[in-house]
Amino acid sequence: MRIILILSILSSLAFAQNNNLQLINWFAGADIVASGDNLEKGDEDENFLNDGMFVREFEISAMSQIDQTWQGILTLAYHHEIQKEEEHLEVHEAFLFSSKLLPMANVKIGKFFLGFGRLNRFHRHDWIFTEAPLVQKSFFGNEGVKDTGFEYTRLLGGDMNWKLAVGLTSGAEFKHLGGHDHEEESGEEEHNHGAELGAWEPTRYLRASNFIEISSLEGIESGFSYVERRDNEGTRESFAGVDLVYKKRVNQYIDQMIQFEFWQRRSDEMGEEAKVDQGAYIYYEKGINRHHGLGIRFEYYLPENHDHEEGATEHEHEGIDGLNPLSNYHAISLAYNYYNSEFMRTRFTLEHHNGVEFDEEEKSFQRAHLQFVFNIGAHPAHVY
Amino acid sequence: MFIKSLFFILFAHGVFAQVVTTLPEFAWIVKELNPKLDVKSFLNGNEDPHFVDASPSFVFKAARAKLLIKNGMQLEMGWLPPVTEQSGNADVQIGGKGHCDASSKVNKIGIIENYDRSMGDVHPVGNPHYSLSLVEMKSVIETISRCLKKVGLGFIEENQTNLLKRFDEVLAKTKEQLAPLKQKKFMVYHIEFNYFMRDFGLKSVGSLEEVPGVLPSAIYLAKTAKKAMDENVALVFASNVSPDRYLEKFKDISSIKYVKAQVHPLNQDDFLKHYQLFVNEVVKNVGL
Repeated sequence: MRIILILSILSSLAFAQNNNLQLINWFAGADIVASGDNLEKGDEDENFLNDGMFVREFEISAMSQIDQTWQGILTLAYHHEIQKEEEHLEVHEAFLFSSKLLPMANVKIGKFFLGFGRLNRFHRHDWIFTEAPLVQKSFFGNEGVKDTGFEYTRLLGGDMNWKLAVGLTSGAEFKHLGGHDHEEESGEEEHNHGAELGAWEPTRYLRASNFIEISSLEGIESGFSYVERRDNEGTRESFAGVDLVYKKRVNQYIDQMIQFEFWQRRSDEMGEEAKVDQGAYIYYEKGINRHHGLGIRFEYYLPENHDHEEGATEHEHEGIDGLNPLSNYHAISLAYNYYNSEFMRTRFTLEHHNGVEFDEEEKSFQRAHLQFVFNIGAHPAHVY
Repeated sequence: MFIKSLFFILFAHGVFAQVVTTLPEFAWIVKELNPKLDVKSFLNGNEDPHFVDASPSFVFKAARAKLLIKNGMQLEMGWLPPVTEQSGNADVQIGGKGHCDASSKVNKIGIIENYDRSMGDVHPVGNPHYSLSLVEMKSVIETISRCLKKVGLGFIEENQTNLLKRFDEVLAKTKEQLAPLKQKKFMVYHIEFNYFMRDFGLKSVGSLEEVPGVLPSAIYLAKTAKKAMDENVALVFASNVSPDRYLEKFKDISSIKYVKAQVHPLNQDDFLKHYQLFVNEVVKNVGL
């Protein structure tokens, strides 16, 4: 109901013949997914993985220059929460952005996706695969980390193409897993209300990146990220990651693309031994022509208890988006991408997962996804 | 010593271009107008300028430039906005004194008042492919000269006069060369030769793309080939980035030749020489 109301207001605004409103760029996009797997489930587990067909995400966004210095970006998102069988509407972004305030620098103030790693810097509908790798889900949630704060990005001098982004955010939000329970007692989403508990610390991060230009159509961007935070229970987490993307374009399409991320997390709970877990993925896509592309992804995830045979991890109790990875967890995915046009794509993915615990047994299973992503209106041009 | 080297790599201000352009022909014009200026083009002529990634290397080039010259008319809208924004250089962003739209004085073709995306990759503000028109490129020379002056980089007036004179000479010669082609009919792969054809009164009877920017279906290609045969089309104009597979298929069905133009000169080469090579290729293929 709330969605209908908001859309009605937005659409009436969009049609209003007001010159000021004409300066606003409106954009709406949807991500529709049908998923299924061959994992035999009991009654209690039937919603463990996101099976079925649903509008996974719907975003509506308005962007405009506020004055001679600042732009404003507002994005509302609707999510379908299959695990809770509910719909959820939330503010994805609401931030001020300036590329004119300081030379060779950009500034963001407000709520935004934090500028570290590779996937976290893009909205989920722009990702090159349907489902995030397990390491991404485990560390940063299903759609990446967004929070309210400040980010400063500076191009470094010289002709070596180095860039540095640093950010400081409230720490009130960190990740979304399967559900979007925004109640304070939620275990799915990590919301810090540490101001009350006294353990709270802001999230701080940096990403240093470099670009090597091979030609105007080919290049490699690599980055190193570091993120640090402390949750409301006093657990200090630090994340170190490396990301890399290689693209080679031929005329109107990406001929070859490689995307890689490695992340390691260290968790220090008060009075306990530090836990370390890590994971990585590498994705390769070969474009066939402007419409067709084939992709393959390998990933692994090493949970934090891999050297503690007897100890059950937090993940084993809660699962990472429905999966309990064991120390030998790895997965391979094959994808066929059909780029209908610049504004729509259809993707079919087959995944094979190994090394997950289910019903107290080690299992492997297959999943399939059919995904449709489209956007209407003035979607902003993509960064590299 | 290591720290010093690292500091140099990270923070030293290297040699950056004073002027950056999106297309290589604009960089060549700048160099002709003022050879002392350091100018670099983002693209080197072998790309489709509709489909380019917002490369971080463009961002770094734009960050230090005093002037950015773009084709405009939305040709670069898929990649230039994030480049100028990320550069943090207010001068080269829209509204800045160093943001130069080379199309500002172009006599535009194909302005569309009512459009939607079912019409393909159309540009409602007009067809942006004017750089093979010497008539329009003369206005571009004047626009670029004004932009150089505005940011204090300046140009040599004698060079501008000589350059416009060279354009007039090549235009007059080309008019003579292509005069016999006025009686013939042509087709294009993508609608990027309209300005060129207008310069010489050449007639296009259709395009191989059903809607701009979308690959043609086999049925449409066959229908278009039949139409081309019925209309006795002399030649198909295509660009260096048009897909060979569709052009060859068309040629197989219709037996009509195509010529692939290097629409933008490679590596900031002499634009007029590059233009004359294209005209000679057209003349040769039509069999005059």
